[in-house]
Order: sequence, then C-alpha cells, then structure tokens
Amino acid sequence: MRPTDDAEGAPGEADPFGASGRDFRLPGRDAGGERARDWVRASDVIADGVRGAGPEEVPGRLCALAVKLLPVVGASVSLRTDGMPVQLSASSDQAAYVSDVQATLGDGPCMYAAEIGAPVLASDLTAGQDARRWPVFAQQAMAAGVQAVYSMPLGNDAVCVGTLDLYRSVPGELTAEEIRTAHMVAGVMTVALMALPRAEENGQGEEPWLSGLATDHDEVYQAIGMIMAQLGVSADEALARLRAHAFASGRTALEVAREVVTHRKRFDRD
Amino acid sequence: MTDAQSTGPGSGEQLLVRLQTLLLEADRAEEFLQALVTLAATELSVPVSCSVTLESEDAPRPYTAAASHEAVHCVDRRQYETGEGPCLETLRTGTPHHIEDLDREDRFGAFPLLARQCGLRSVLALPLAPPRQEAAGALNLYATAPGSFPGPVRERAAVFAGHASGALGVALKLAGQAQFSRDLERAIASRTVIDQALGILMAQQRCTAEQALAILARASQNRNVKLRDLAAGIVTSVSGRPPSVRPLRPRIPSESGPGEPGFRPVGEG
Repeated sequence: MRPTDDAEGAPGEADPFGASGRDFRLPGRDAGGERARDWVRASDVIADGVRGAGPEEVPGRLCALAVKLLPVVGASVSLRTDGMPVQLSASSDQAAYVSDVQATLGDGPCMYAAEIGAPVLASDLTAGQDARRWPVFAQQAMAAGVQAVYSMPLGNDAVCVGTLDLYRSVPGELTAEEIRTAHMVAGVMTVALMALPRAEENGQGEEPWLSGLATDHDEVYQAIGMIMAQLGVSADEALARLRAHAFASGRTALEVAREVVTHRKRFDRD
Repeated sequence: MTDAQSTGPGSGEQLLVRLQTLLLEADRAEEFLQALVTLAATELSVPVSCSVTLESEDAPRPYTAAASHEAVHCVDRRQYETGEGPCLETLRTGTPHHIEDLDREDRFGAFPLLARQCGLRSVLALPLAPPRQEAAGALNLYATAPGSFPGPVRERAAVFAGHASGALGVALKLAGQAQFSRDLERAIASRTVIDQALGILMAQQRCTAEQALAILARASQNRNVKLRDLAAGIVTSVSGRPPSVRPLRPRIPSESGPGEPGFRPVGEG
C-alpha cells in the first residue's frame, strides 16, 4: 500500500472533504479574512473527521486528516520515551515504516523535535542541511519515497510527550498557513492522547493499555528483555544491540524484535 | 459606597486583557487562580473578599482552590462541612446566588449564622463554567457590609465571572496536560520495565509473552508484590542495576534555549 504522489497542484484522488480540503494546499493566501475562514474550515474538517470515533480510533483518524489537510503523503504519531519511541498510529504502511526506520536509527527530525519540544521542518532530505544532519535517515526515507519530514511536538509548554510526524514525497517548505494547520492537528492529537486509558499495569485491568495502540512497543521491549537475558547486559546495551543488528541487516528494530520474541533469532554471547 | 459608573463601556475588554496577562504570567493553575481572586477582590467597587470553589472529576468534593484572604477559607470550609451555602448551591445549579443581608436570610440552613460569626453581612456567588472542561466552579464574593452587591455591582461581577470562566478553562487545560505528561511518563516507564521482565522470562523459560505474563501475574499474586515491583526486581537481577527511569527533559524555550548551536529547526531551509 503506497500512497499516491501528492505534489502541489496535482488533482489528487477522490477527496471526501470536497474542495475545501484542497484549499489549504494553495499557497499565497495571506488575506486576514481568508486566513480566518481557512482556519475555521480546517477546524470543521477535523471536527467532522473525528466525530463518532472512539478514543482508540482518534489518533489514526487525525493522521488521515493531516494527509487530507496538508501536502503530505503520510502521517504518524509516536510517544516519546528515553529509549524507543512508542508508535501509536500511522496513516499508511509507508508512514509506519519511515517512523520505524527513525526509531531504529535512534536519530532523525522527529526524535529531534521530541527532544527540543519544537517543530522540526526537514523540508529537503535530498540535499542541503537536512540531508547532512541526518544522512542515514535521509537515505532510507528517500528509498521509501519520502523526501521531506515535518515533525510537530505534542504536549504542552512544559513537557513534550511525543510528535505528530508528517511525510512528503517531494521536497518543499510548508507555508505559514500549513504550519498553523499542522499545529492545530497536533493540538487535537494531544487532547486525543489524553483520552486514552493509561493504566500502568500489564494485563491487569479490563481496558488495554493505550487502547492496544502500543503493541509494537511491547514487542520491542520484550525483545530487549530477552536480549538482556541472552547476553547478560543492561537494557540500554540490549537496545543498542537490537538497533545495531537491525541496521546491519537492513531491517527495522521492530522487525528484528518480532524475530526475537518468536524465538527465531537469538543473541549469543561472544 | 458603590460606584455604578464602573460598569462603563470598555471595562469588559480591559478586564479580558488583565485576565490574559494573568494567564500568561502564571506557571500553574493554582497561581492563576490566586491572581484571579486577588483581581476580583480589587476589581469591584466594593470592599470584598473572594474565593474560588472548584469541583472536578479528579476531586469530586468541592474545595477552595484560591482565596484572597485567609478568613475566606474558614467560611468556605464551613459550607463544605455542612453541605449548605450559596457557593455550593451555585456550584450545583450553575446559577448565581445573592444574600443581601445575612441577618435577614432564612435559606441555606446553618450557613447565615456561621458566616455572620465570621463578621460577614452579604454574599454573592457566581457560577464559573470553564468551556470544554469537566469541572465546575463558583466565584464567591463576601462583604462585611449588608447590601454590598446592588444591581450594577452584580452585573459587573457577572461580567467578571464570565471572562474568568474562559480563562479558567485555559488554566485547567494547561494543568490537565501537565498532569497527563507525568501520568504518561510514569505509565510508559512502568510498562517498559514489565515488558523487559516478560522478555527475560521468555528467554529463560523459552515461552511466549502470554505464558510469561501468566508466570509474572501468578508470582505477583502469590507474593502479594505489585507486578511492576516484581518486574523491576527481575530486570535488576539480570542487568545488575535497577531499571533506569530517566525523566523526560522539559522543553527548551524555542527563542534562545541551549539548543544545538548552528541549527535552527524552524525558519531556515
């Protein structure tokens, strides 16, 4: 499942939100009244898009809405941790994959945005400072059809809890308007995350932790536990080994983790 | 004593600006509320003491979130203890309640007598209804003179309460997000340690995650130790040190924080 290219001006496929959805992509709308109307329209599209959705569905719907409202081909949302980010939802396999690539490398624009708690707009991964700053990520993202990444922090002024990550198939800056829309989606996403159940204990309550959206994270940390036991190392070291093995074998950490937890791959002491 | 001229045009806007300033300056909801009651106590043209009563999902019993004067806490507490009083009634009904003279008030059970003992004579309680928040509040105004809240003063107080509701909504939202960040951080850390312990059991017992969870849950029950604590013990025994729970770093101010030199995330191509 590979989303179609979504370059500016392209007619695009059937748009359930009608012409209003595409209006946000038109550059150069700077008249105050027009801007206010666009703002209202974007809020309406978001409100319509999440209406009737259960808390566990909203993050996925907001990722899809971000793709409708902005010139991007994919979106994903991840929670920040001091180890592997927790990917909660993605609009497509491509978006999920690029997010996993970054989690595997442990470095990239989204992880940097989570760290500094400010938007990071890597608008050209093909050349220039973004490509120089994250060369490995840029190369792997481009191989997956992504040439620009915009990452919006989630949370409040005090703490960044994660990021809304937007992927574009061609290089390009977001307009001020589009950045405002991205902020709006990120704001709604933060509220949506607050509605998810987050009981601490595993399998203890009736409500699944984060509504079952974080199963990938479970697999990765179970794999880390297994590597800890197999090698007698700390969690940090086990994560480093997992990442290194994934990188060396051209796969994501999640893919390797799945092999580990199903006993198809084990790490042996030298 | 009263100054009806103070309800002139423009005062509402000035008030909004002041409330916005309070919001921007306060780091926490408590600070904002404290500034709010202080402003309320000086904003009206009559000498009043002021407090804010809140009731929310997290705190199902009403409590005084802020008071302009220490004595107000006492009056409020008596209402909560007896379950009767204009502020509680305003909280329940969402409508204002006015006591012109406590000496001639026969509603609210024991409240008039208790308030009278605190030296008060008139009371005005106004609803605070922060938009899109599962919380309700009341702005309580107390005066030592009877008839301190004639029509124009009540109108001005209502305008104030209206603006304060919106500002309170923002303050509560920010406070809720801060609590959410802490909860989430703790939940992720806890979940991570439990997953690691499951993985250790999976490797040692050559079993699935479900089987490992059953083992861990059974041990937790038998030993009456919390799952998380048991998991932390397993992780410690393998890695030789307790699981690290590094707090998420606070956000770096975007203007000129100690970010990495030479890289501006926004604005530069």
